[in-house]
Amino acid sequence: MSCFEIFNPATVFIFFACVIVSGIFTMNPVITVISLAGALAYWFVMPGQKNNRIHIYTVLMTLACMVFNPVFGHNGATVIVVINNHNVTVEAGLYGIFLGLMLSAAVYWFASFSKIMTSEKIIYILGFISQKAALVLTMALRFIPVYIRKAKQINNTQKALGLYKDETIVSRVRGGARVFSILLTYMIEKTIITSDSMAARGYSGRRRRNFSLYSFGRRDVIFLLASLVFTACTVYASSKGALVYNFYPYADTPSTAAVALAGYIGYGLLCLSPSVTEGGSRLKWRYLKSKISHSDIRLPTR
Amino acid sequence: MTVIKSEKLRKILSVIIPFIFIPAVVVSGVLVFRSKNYSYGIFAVSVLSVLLFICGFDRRKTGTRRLVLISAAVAMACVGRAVCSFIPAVNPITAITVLFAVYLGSEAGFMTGAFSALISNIFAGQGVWTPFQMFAWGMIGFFAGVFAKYLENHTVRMCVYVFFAGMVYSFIMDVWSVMWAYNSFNLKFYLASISSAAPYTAVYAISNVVFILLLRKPFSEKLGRIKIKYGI
Repeated sequence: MSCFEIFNPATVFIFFACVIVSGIFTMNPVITVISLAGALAYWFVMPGQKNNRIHIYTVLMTLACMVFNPVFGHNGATVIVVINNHNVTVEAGLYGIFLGLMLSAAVYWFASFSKIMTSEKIIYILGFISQKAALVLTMALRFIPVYIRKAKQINNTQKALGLYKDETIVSRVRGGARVFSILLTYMIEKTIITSDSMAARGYSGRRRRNFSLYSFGRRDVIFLLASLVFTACTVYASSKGALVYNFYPYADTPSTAAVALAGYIGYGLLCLSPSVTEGGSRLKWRYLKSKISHSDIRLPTR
Repeated sequence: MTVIKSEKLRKILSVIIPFIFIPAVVVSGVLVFRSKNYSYGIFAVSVLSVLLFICGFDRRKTGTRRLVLISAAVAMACVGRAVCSFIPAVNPITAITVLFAVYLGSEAGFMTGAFSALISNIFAGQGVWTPFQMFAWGMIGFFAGVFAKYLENHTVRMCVYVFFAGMVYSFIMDVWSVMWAYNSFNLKFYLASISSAAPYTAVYAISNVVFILLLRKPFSEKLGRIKIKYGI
């Protein structure tokens, strides 16, 4: 279990929003590399089942960007070769690599985000904005398994009655449409029943609130404040123009002014904070467990 | 969870937030992320306009039956996307959104499209594209509701609408990817990305038409019937 399970979803959401927005809208290679490193670190520290095909996907994407950018773009001053009156430049290749790394970082961050932000947390976040929207989301998520089960039942019934065969594609599509039509009738009738029973229990009466068990504790305050302070460093550096980086016509060397360094360090700490939190909580658990085995468990004496 | 208890304050905030908060977020972001200002701008506008729609939906009085019907439509679209996921580029979300929008109005259409994108991405994978998908499908539903008079009881017009909706959807998503990568509307890259996505776009647009041809009749009969029977 990730230690972010016990954080308030709003804290986690704000953290990811800060990391992703400042990562993908700052065009600076240093920021991109930091973002990718942080995302990868968290991807490996994060417990639970992970889909490792993501690495193939990101590598292929980076390679594709690296190849396609010089092919379609001809900006840049250092020409390698001229094909068909078209300059293939070093700068365009560099920009392609940078773009691929930036995309990969976003992919890793979003993969971790999807893993932590399960549907009930998204509903909780949406509840801040709109009660009704959260209700619609909750009900839709409930209806999905119901419809899948019902569709299977209808399909089996129709087949058993001999009403369609699934031999050719056309007959399968028509059979599918038939199942859909029946499912639609079921869905509409059930909708009316559900809404009437909601009305009977006083749904349309007074203002409603949603209920959840998430609390906003000390750890949330600390984590949220830390993320906001680190993001503020990056945003400050960015608004001063210190993180502006030009690829064309010649690729710049990244700025090393004090403001830019503050931005890099702030963003680096922001990107590392989930890995540190996760790793720290695991170390703490190890430590507590080691204490148990030494002092509290007494071997039976003969 | 309602954070602000005072009814009056909530009312004031609900007016202030859209007119001050949204431009403030966009302008400040454009000033901060200078080298990515255009892409940040369109990103912020699409996120905030989806939020604005949701807030408007929250304030308006929607009947319970309509509300449950919208969530059922969202569930239906998500099941459809999951069922069709083995064929690349084919999903019935546009078709179902348009059909619901035509019979239940533009607001229901926007909600169906936007929430179908959000929920089906819980299974299919969230990404930077989620707000754009929400916005694009929401708008397809919204305009289907606006033109409901012309689309209702007219299969050919509806097919034409979903065909172009499918193409426009792909084009919108490509605009975003080009804007984000190059921070300006670079026509050459845009054409390159459109042409590389052309087979998908074509399959998507045609599959939308097929879905409409298959589903329009049951939808119009059944939704028309409950509209009369229960007065939704």
